[in-house]
Amino acid sequence: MRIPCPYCGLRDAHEFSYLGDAAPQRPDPAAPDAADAFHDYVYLRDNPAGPMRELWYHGAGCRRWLVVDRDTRTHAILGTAFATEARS
Amino acid sequence: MSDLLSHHPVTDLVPEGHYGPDAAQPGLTAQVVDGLALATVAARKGASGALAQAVLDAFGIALVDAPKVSFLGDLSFIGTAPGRWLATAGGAPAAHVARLQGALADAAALTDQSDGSLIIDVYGPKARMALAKLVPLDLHPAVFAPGDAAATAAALIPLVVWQLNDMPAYRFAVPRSFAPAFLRALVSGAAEFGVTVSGTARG
Ligand SMILES: [Zn+2]
Repeated sequence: MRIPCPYCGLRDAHEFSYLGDAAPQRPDPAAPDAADAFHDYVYLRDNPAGPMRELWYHGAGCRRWLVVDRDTRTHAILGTAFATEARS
Repeated sequence: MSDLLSHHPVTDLVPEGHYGPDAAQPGLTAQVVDGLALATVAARKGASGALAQAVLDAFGIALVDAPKVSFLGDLSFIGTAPGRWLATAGGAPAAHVARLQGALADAAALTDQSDGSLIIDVYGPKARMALAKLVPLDLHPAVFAPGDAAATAAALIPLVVWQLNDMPAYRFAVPRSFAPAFLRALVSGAAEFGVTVSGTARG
């Protein structure tokens, strides 16, 4: 599997570290339902068969976090972006 | 071919000499380059434009924010990440950093790396074939050409590599303490093509 880094270009997946689902956003710790919200943030994950947005770290290249759209059935990479831009 | 190196300490650089066939016409040469000063240049937040302008004004170099080499004379900026470069030049490290500091300090953070990396040039008619066994990049000339650069890892060693010319010749900046392992991996893989090592101490 190869991942097209927006800076480095097409690179072997071994250059990257996988974090997981890019969707969860850190909840507001001051909110009244913070305990429940953090439980979901830490533990609840979807496990889709198909396209998924994921966080990957290009540790052996540009050392940037990426959001990678990957089809979990085929490993086809549908798109990549720097996480700073994709999640802002 | 690892038996070629079995009597050399793993902590020492591979000794000067020829490994494999064709000593008269080596397939490739691995040469340790002395006298090159290195510094990382990292654009300050929001200062990418100012940095590019400062590099153009001070050095006449059009800085490219991509894995490419931007150079004039012996001063080169090798793109390693967005807004980050490895700047190399001949001469003393202190002079190199002072020169960069004088022109770029407002727009970039500068760190002397001259003693952090060993520079190793790998060149010759079989250099591309030998490096194909080591470097996890597509080195085909249609993909990776003179002026292209990459921050990557070879034999699990993080390094920066850029192509100097279409001989082909490649230049590696290898973390100094990993240089013995890098050279062993290179020579072990390249010995089938005949590889000459120079610039390291004799065994
Ligand atoms: Zn990258």
